[in-house]
Amino acid sequence: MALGLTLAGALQAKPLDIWISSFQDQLYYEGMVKLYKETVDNEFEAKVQSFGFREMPEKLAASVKTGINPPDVVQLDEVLFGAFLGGEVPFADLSGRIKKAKLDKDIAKSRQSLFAYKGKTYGIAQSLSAIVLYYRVDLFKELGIDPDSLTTWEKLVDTGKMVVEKHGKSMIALDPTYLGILLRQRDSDLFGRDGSVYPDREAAIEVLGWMQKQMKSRVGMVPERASIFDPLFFNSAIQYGEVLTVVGADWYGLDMLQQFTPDLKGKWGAMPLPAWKLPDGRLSRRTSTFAGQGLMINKGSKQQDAAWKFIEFVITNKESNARRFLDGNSFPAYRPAWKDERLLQPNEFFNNQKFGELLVRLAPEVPEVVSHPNRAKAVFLFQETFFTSLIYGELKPAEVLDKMKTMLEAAGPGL
Amino acid sequence: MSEAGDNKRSVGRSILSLMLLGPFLMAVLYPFLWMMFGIFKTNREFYQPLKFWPMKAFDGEYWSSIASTFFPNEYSWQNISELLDGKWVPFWAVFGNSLMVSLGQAFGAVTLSAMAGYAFARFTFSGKRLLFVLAVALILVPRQLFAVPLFSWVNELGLSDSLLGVMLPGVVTGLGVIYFTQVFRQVPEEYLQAARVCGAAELRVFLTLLPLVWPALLSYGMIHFILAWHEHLIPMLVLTSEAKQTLPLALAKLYDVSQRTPQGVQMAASTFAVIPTAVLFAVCHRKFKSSLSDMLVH
Amino acid sequence: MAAANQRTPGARWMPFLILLPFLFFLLLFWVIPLVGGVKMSLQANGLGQAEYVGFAHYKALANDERYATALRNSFVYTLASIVVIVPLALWLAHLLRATFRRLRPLLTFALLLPALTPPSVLAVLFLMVFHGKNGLLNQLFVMPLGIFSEQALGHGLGPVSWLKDPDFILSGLVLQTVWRWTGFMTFFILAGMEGIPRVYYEAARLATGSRWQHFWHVTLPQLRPVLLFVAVYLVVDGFSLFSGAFVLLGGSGGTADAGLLTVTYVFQKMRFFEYGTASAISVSLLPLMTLALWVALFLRRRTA
Repeated sequence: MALGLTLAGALQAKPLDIWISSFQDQLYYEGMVKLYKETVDNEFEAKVQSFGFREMPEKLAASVKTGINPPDVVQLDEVLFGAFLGGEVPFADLSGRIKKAKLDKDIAKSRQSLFAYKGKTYGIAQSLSAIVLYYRVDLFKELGIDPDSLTTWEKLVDTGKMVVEKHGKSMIALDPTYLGILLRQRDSDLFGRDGSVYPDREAAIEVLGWMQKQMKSRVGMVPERASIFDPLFFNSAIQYGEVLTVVGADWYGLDMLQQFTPDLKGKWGAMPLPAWKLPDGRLSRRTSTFAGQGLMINKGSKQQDAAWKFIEFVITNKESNARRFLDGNSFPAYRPAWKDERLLQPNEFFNNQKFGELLVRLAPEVPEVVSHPNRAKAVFLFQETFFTSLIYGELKPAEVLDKMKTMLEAAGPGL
Repeated sequence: MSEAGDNKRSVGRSILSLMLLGPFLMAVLYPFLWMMFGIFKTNREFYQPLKFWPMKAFDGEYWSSIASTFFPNEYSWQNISELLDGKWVPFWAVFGNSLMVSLGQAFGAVTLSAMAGYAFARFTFSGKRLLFVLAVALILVPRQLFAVPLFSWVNELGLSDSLLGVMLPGVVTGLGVIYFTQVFRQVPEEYLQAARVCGAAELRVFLTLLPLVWPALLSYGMIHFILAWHEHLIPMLVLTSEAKQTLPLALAKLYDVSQRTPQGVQMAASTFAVIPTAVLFAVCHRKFKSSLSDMLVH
Repeated sequence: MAAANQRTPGARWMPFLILLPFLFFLLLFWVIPLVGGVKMSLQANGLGQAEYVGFAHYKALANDERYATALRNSFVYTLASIVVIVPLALWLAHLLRATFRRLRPLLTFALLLPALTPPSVLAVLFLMVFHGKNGLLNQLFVMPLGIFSEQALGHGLGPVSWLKDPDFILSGLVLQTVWRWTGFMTFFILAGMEGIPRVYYEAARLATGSRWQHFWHVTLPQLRPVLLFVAVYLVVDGFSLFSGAFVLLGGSGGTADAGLLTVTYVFQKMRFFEYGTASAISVSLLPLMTLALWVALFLRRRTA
C-alpha cells in the first residue's frame, strides 16, 4: 500500500483544473500557480480558466448536472453561491480542513460563515468586502462639505438637499444592491437564520422608502442603466461630477474605481458609512458587506488534497495577499495579512489616505451575510424586477416588499 | 411600378425616392459608422454623449462640436493591432473556428436539406406529411429547450469541446427543408422526364438536377452560413477551451465588464465580426435574389 | 405551379434512401435532445439527479402571473413587429424600385446590415440609440418633435427613458426588432416583386384603376408567399429568439415586468437552475407555434 501511495503521489495525475469567475483574476491566479510551483511544489501543474461573472454559474451548473469535465477548484461569488445550495451541494465540506489549518481563527469572523450552510462550510472567503462610502474629495472641497460631518444618514440627506438646490448635483448614487447592504448595516438581512424571508419587515420597508424618497428629491440618482457597476455610469455621471458619493465595498474602490476612472486618481476618498438611528435609540454600525469571491473544491474532484493545498497557499501566503490588494483587487479576509505594511500605506489613488487602515478599523464591525439557497434569486429579483418600479414610484415600498416576499417564499429551492 | 428602364421613369421620381429613403438609411447606417469610428477612440471619447438637442442647425459651432464627438481625435491603429495580435482573445484562432464551423454547417445543411427537399418534392410516400411538419416544426422550437439535453448528449457522443460538436447539430434545419422542397417543386417536368427516360436511377436524377439548381444551393448555403455565424447558445455550452471559441463567444468575453477591454478594441472586433457575412452577401446577392424571386412567387 | 408528385418506378424505399442522411441527423441531434427537453419538463428543478414530478411544472405555470405577463407581452411584441415591419418594408421596397436602378444593390445592402450583424454587436449599438437622456432616439426624434412633453410622461423627464420607463419598454423592444429586420424583409419583398411576371404589370396598366388599386389587387396577392414567410419569421423571432430582448434588457424583464418575454422568462428560470420549469415554458409554446405554422401552410395552399 505504501508503494501505491508513493506511486500515486509521484504521478501527479492530471493538472488541477481551476475555474475563475472573473477575467481580471486570470493573471493573478496564473501568477499564483507559478509562485506555488516555485515555493512549495515544483511538480505542481494547474490549468486556469476564467469565465464571466455571470457565465460561470451557468457553466458550472451544466457541468455539475451532466457530470461533464467538472473543475477541481472553483472561484465563485457569494451572491451566486447560494443557488447551488438547493438539494445536493456540489462542493466539498471544508470544515475539517479549515480547522486543521487554523483558518477558523485567522479568517475574519464575519466572513467565516459566508460559504457555510446547515453546519457545513463549503468555501473560503477571499475578501473582507467591507462597505465604505466613497466620496469625491475635490468636489467636497469645492462645495464646502466636511466629510467628517456625515456621521448619520440624516446628516447626509440634509447636506444632499443643499447640494441639489445650490449646485444641481446629486449627493449619492443609488443601486439595487443597497437594499441588502443597508439592511445588514441595521442588523437585518434578506433572510433570517431560520430561513425566513425579509424577517424584519419594518426595517426593509424603511430602507425601500428611504431609497424612493432620495430619488424623488434628487438627493439620490439612479445610473443610466440602473447599476453602479456599469462602465457607462463611470464614464458619464461620475466623469462629469454629477454625483458626489457612492456606497461600495473595498473591491469596488480598489478594482472598479481604479480601472474605470483612472483620471480621477487622487480625487477619491473613503469614509465609514453614515449611521442609521435605530429604533431603540442607538446608532448602527458604520459599515456593511456585499458580495466577494470565495474558493471552493468540487465534491467530485479526484484531487481534493492537492486542491486544498493550493487554496490554503493562496489564502495564507503573504505575497499572495499583498498582490491582491496592490494590484487593485480586494482587501483580504485573512487577518494575519493585515499586519503587512504594504497594505497600510497611504494610497495614491485615494488622495494619500491610508485606505487599508480604514478597512482594518472597520473590520470588526463587518456584519455577516445569511446564506440561503434563494439568496441569488432574491438579489436578482429586486435588481431586475422591482428596483425601477420602486424608484419610479410605480409601487409603494410595502407593496414591493410583500410582492417579493410572496414570490420568494413560493419559490422553494429546486421545486 | 413596371420594370422599365431609368430613362422612362422620371429622374425626378428617382431622386424623390432616394430622399425618402434617406432617413431610413441614416437610421440603419449611423450606428455602424459610429461603431467604425469608435475603433479609434479612447474610452473617454467613446462615452462622450452626443448632444444633438437643442438643435442649432445654422450654428457652425454646433456642428463642429457634434463632429468632434463623433470623430476620434487621433487615428491610431493600436486597438486594431492589439486585437489582431491576440492580446485580448486569440483572434485569428477564433475567427478561423467560426469560419470552419459556419462553412461546415452550410455545406452539411445544403447537402442534407437538398436531398430532403428533393424527396419531399418529388415522391409520395406514407408519413410524408407528418415528417415534413416535424422537420419544419423544428425551427419553431426555442433553442433553450434543447440546450442542456443537447450539451449532455453531445458529450456522450464524445464531441464535447470540439468544433464538430457545434457543427453537427447545426446541419439539420427546417428552413432548409422548406426552401429546397419549394426549389425542387419548381423544376420543370421536362428535365425530370429527360433524366428518367435515360433510365437513370433516382439518385442519378437528383445528381443531374444539381447543376440546374446551383443558385438555390448557393443561396441557401449563404443563409445558413449567416445563421451559423451568429450562433451563441450551443457553442457556449459545448466549447470550453479558449482556443476553440467561436466569434460570438469571443465577442461576449470582450464585452464583459470584468475584462476591461478598451472600447476601441471592442468596436474593432465587432466590425470584423460583421465583415464576412457582409462580404458573403455582397458577393452572392444577385444570385440569391433571383433564386428567391423564382421561388417565392409560386 | 408545383409539378404533381410522381409515382416513381423502381424501389419504393428510394425516397427514404434519399431522405436517410437528413433523417439520421434529425434523429440524432434534434429528436433526441427534444425528448430530453420534454423529459426535463417533467422532472424536478435543481442540479441533483432529478425525480419525476409529472405535470407539476405545467400546473404551476397555469397559476403563474409572470408567465401570463410574459405570454401577453410576447404576443403584443410579435403582433406589433409584424404590423410595423410589413407596411414599412413594402414602402421601402417600393422606394427602392422607384429610385435609381444602379443604386439598388448598394441601398439594399445598407438596409440589410442590421440583419447581417451578430446580435452581441447590436447590443453595443443599441446603447447609443436607446440611452435615456443622450440616446439617438431621444436626441433625434423625441425631443425635436416634442412628442412626449413633461406633462405626458408625468415623471419630469423630457426625453423618454426607453429602458426603464414601463410604458415604453415594450415599444423599445419593438423598435429594436423593426430596426433589425425591416431591411431583411424589404429584401425579400423586393425579390418577390421582381419575380412577378411582367404580364401582370402590363395587364394592370392596360386596365383602369389607380396605382394604389393595382398594388392592392395585383401586386399584393402575388406577394402572399413572401408576406407569409415574413410573418412566420417574425413570429419565430418574437417567441423563440432571445438575442433581441437580451441585447436590450439583459436578462431583465424591465420595470414591472413590462418587457418580460417568454424567452426572457425561460432564461431567468434557467439562471436559477429551474430547468424543469424552463423546459415546461418552452414546451408549452409548441402548440402555439405549430398552430401558427399550420395557419401559414393552410393560407399558402389557398393561394395556389
